[in-house]
Amino acid sequence: MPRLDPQTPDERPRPPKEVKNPFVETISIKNWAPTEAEEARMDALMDERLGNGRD
Amino acid sequence: MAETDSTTFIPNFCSWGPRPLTMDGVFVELLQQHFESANNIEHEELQTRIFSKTASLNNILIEESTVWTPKETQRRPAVIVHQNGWKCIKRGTFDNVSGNTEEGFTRHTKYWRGSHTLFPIAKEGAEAKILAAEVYRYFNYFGPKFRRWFGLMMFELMGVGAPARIEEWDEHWTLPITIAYGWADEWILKPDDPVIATIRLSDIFSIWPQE
Repeated sequence: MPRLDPQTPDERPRPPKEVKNPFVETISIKNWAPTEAEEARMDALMDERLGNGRD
Repeated sequence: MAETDSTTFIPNFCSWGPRPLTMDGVFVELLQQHFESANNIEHEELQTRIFSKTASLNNILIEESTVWTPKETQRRPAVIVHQNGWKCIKRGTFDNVSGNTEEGFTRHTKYWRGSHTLFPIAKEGAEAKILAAEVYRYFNYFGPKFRRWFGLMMFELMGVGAPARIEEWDEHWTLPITIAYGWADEWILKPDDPVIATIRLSDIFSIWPQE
């Protein structure tokens, strides 16, 4: 006598989903460059050393 | 605190001033000198990882980014030195802000601003943080000295990035440390033609027809 599976495919238990640590950031060093904000800070520091604004 | 010997590489640096390769050399040499003695290293955890030119798998690796082989950094910590883009800053017409020499040659100056990012890399997040602290503290405290040594107008630690896994290399951590620097590039142009020392008006008037 065939055994009936009472569960439809959607109701079958699924393997636990892997939860990645949400605090872990990743950065790409392949194309790494300072952000625009960092560049602007560097420009401001250099302007300060030069004494005033640019031409 | 660290002791760094400036005599080994400054003469070479000073002859032409900053160039991409010499600035790479500045950061690599300073870091190698700092890490080559346990007495220089503040963090005890790193004192067994001293830098050696004949590196073993336990020693820290300090290299410029274009020659770095990630395979050599599987288990040991590393600091990879990477040059970012440079900007030139124009001041004055034809960059001539310094006038002329006594011989009549023109003096020129162009200002430059660049940066390098140092990537302390380790397999564990905690080790990467310790390594980053060793590196940024060194450049923070000795920055004013380095600025004077290399005749720079600016040498500033800009900040330390958040700890992050390296996307291209999922097993390792880094905290990017960016250092900005600026300098004046000065030169004199000597024209091929002989310079007219003086112009006497009497000579000019003497060749005009007299009425």
